[in-house]
Amino acid sequence: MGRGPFIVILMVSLGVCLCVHLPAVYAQDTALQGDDVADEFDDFEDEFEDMMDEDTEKKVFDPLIGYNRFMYRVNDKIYLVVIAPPAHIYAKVVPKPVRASVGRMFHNLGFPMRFVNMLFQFKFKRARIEMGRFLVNSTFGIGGLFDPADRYLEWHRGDEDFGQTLGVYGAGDGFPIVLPLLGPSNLRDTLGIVPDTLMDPLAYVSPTEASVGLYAGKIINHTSLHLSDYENLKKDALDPYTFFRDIYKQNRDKKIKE
Amino acid sequence: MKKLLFVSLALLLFVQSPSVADDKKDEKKAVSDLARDRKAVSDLIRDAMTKVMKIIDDKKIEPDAKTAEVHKAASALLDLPRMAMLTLGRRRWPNLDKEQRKEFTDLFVKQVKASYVDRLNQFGGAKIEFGEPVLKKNKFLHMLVTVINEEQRVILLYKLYRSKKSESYQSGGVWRIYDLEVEGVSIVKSYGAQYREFLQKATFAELLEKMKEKIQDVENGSKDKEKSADRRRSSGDKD
Repeated sequence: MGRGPFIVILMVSLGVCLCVHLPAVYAQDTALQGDDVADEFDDFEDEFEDMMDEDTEKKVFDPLIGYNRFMYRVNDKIYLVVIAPPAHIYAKVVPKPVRASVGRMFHNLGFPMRFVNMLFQFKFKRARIEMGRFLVNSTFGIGGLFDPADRYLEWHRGDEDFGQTLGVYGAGDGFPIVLPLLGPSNLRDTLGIVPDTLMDPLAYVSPTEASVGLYAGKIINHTSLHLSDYENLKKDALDPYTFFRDIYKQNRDKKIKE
Repeated sequence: MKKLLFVSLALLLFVQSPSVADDKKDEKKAVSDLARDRKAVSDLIRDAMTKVMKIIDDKKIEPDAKTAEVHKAASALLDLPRMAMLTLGRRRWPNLDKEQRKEFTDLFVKQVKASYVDRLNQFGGAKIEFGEPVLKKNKFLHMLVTVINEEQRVILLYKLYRSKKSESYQSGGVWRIYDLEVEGVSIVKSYGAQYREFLQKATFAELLEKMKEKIQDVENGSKDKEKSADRRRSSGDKD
């Protein structure tokens, strides 16, 4: 391994006191070498199973890949040209605590959708908390601008939608679909948008222009709180489309498991 | 004959009973080992996170020095070379020679540091909640950490393994991070997927080239950002 001495030093220092700052040698980022490389993977095999085994290294089922790649590029441009610049300006003009409050208010309005989906998933305890949060934050939190439920009652935010409900019921994700403006999704979550929108108060604001305006405001406000997140992630990708497709799937799988 | 039976039975019992006791002792030892490992991991993560947060929130440190300090604190825990190996997987890693492994690991380490470690800056002023380490597959400890700021809760999952199994056990074990999940997105999985996909159509040398380009982009990007910030500041003066 060539790291034997380091490990020994480490063990001793760790044994002396765990709280002591780790010695600098620990921070060496040198490549793992060795002849028994195959063994090195044994421990991790089942965890990254699909990455290890030759046979299971199959390609992702992505029948719409041509359209998806096109729509990814369109969304990328829309984000960079239409959404990000106003968000940057808005972020400069409006202080962060105010924007965070606006974000919380929009989140509060998403209560019906989250609550119903929690019930659909038989998460009754979560649903009770969600109901409590809505009542407390709408009143004492002044229409959701503040989050006293989280702060004083330890009732934390939940996050459920119909796509997750379908997932909990055992529906697979189908295949990836990139939605105009909304970004990466899949067949299951795209279908989930319909009932979720029916439960979204913003969709019932009339006239339609006002409703659209509110959605735009929601997006700009959210973007202003996450400036450069997208650009930073994109920088890591060798192929941005597949990178975001993969990230989206991992994130959704985790949410469904919760 | 009866006596013999009795003696042999007694002998059997005698021989067996200590071994039963041993099993129990082993069990107890395993439980206390696990408790100690949990404590060790919990302390490691708490100390490192607390330290990183302190550095980030310290306004007296220069940005460059800050980055270096954060890197140092994070490297103590993150086993980036192990992650590099895992991203390529059992199928590809063993086929590389020493030079290739070294070059790949160096590039991977740079990339992760640039994109993850530096982004810890976003957590400035955030509150942190630590979960308890949970034993996974009888060999890993996974620990949830929630970073809370005014508008969201970000869930990090630190996944640790014990490097150098047997000998380090007596000294509390050397636990290091082999993967990190941010909101369910694993570093090893997402980088790994990208590398594997790239290698389906290209050679390893080309992958290394592409990684170099990417790192260059990231470095230029941060410079551009500084420049545009400067520009904005100067144009703001005119207004």
